[in-house]
Amino acid sequence: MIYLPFLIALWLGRTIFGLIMRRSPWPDPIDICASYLIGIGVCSCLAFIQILCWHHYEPSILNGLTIFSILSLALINRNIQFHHINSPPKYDLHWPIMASLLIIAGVTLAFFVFNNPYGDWDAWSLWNFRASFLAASGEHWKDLYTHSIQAKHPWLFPYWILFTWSWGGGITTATPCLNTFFLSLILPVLVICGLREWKVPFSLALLAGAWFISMPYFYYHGASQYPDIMITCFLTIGMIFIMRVINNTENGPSFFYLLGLLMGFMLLTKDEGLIIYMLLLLTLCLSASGKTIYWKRLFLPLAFILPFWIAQKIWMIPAPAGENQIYFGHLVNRYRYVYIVKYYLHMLFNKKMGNLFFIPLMFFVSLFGKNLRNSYPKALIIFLAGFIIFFFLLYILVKENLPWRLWTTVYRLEYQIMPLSVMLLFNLFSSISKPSTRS
Amino acid sequence: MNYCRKNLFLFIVFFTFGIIIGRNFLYILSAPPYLYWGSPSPPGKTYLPLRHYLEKTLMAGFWSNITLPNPDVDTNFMFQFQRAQFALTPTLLDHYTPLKHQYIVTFVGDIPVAKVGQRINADLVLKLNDHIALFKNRAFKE
Repeated sequence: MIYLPFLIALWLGRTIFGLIMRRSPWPDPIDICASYLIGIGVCSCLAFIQILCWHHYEPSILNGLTIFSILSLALINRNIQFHHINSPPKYDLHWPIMASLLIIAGVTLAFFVFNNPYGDWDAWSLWNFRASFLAASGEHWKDLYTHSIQAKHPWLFPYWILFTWSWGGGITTATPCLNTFFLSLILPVLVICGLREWKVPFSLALLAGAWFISMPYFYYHGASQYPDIMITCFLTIGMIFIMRVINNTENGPSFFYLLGLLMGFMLLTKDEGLIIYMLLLLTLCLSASGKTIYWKRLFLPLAFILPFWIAQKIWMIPAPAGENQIYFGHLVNRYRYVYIVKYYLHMLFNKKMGNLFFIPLMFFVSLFGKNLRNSYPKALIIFLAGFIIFFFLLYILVKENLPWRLWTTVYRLEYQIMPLSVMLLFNLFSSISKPSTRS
Repeated sequence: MNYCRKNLFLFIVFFTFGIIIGRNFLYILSAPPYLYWGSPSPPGKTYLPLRHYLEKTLMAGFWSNITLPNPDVDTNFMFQFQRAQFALTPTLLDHYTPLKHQYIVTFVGDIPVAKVGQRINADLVLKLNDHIALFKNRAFKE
């Protein structure tokens, strides 16, 4: 029973994927992950609609609404002819190795997740707490947006947890645990298969996956039940899809609906989702020059997403005085720059981060590769540089207590870009090891 | 890059990352399974590292010997605590966020409301307020 909401999300996402792309996501692992993530977004929107229309949480109505959506989509989908079928993957020794890596990651992750059934600090005091508030608050559900702490976030994540409770047989800690488990396990799949899409040799992609799942932080943060895991999935898959556009592997008009939908759900997940959305747009603009970009189709999914976002923003109370305010006078304070750089380095050298200091080191070494001049992954570098610079500037300007701000946020931002950093590094390795095109 | 240099480069990459991956997994095996931020642990619970479970499994030879905790066991404990939060929010919630975490663990353990099935009443709210006062004093002194 507790697996049912996840299967429903996958089924709904798969159907919507089929409607948009006119093909099944099977057997491409990235497309399957994309379907699941779309399903999560849609299910949480269903939970939101149920509460909005009935003024309180009612599991039976939400379940009915879900069944109605499933049946409607199935009826529509029945009349659509899939004009393209994915070719089956070529099975070789690499796939069992990948499966073994996922099993190792799964067992270790299960150990950490089920030893922390309530998740980390923000999970039990904010995100899951809001979900339980939605479940128990009755007609006062809108107070969700007026509790002062962290009221700035749009709350897609608690609505999704609520959906899992609705189908999972009641309020339980098991479904948030399973949710974080599945979402975390998506990340190594995206790292390995994403690298494969970028023509990185399978052996190097597997090494990248093995390194990724060996990072203690992957498990520590994976068990935290934070929505950063969800936003990391959306971000990673968004970047993989942008690379598809750049590499011309998939750039049909309908593909941009899918990309827009996946990027749009970031707006509903966390407040920094908006920043990441803008950065991804910027990356697309700067790195896909000469390619056909269907902007209207990219922005059309926002017509579905923005009403949810705007409604939640309207109900929110303004942030308490002093919170999220910026002060431009900090720009001339060189101690802040030094402090932030030191903190960044401290995080990179942290043992729990799995010795991430190898990233800048290897990146530096990679720059000397002669083959990189023409084949470096421009889009990834643009995004990651934009991400790091933006948040660095934000830390410089932020008015509130800087050490506290860094202490509570940097590790989460680092997690969000961890898969893309690993992918960038191994993409560079692959570019270096390719035979030189020059005589 | 020629064939020889390419293989040397790949060897260095695999060798380096092999060591890093090995070290990371050794750390994971012996690391405590609770989070470093101090998530609320059920009282009286003893945490053991992953290595303990693996050794136990290998020696016994049965997966069934792995005794992962069932999250549902303590569900009521946590949700009773959260209902206490509802009774006092947003005041109580405001007090939590920026302060020390370790105290919360004992704080949760000390709350009478943490017992399964207990209902929130005025006396309990008063006790909670006492706890908050104590909590604030201690946190500010630190």
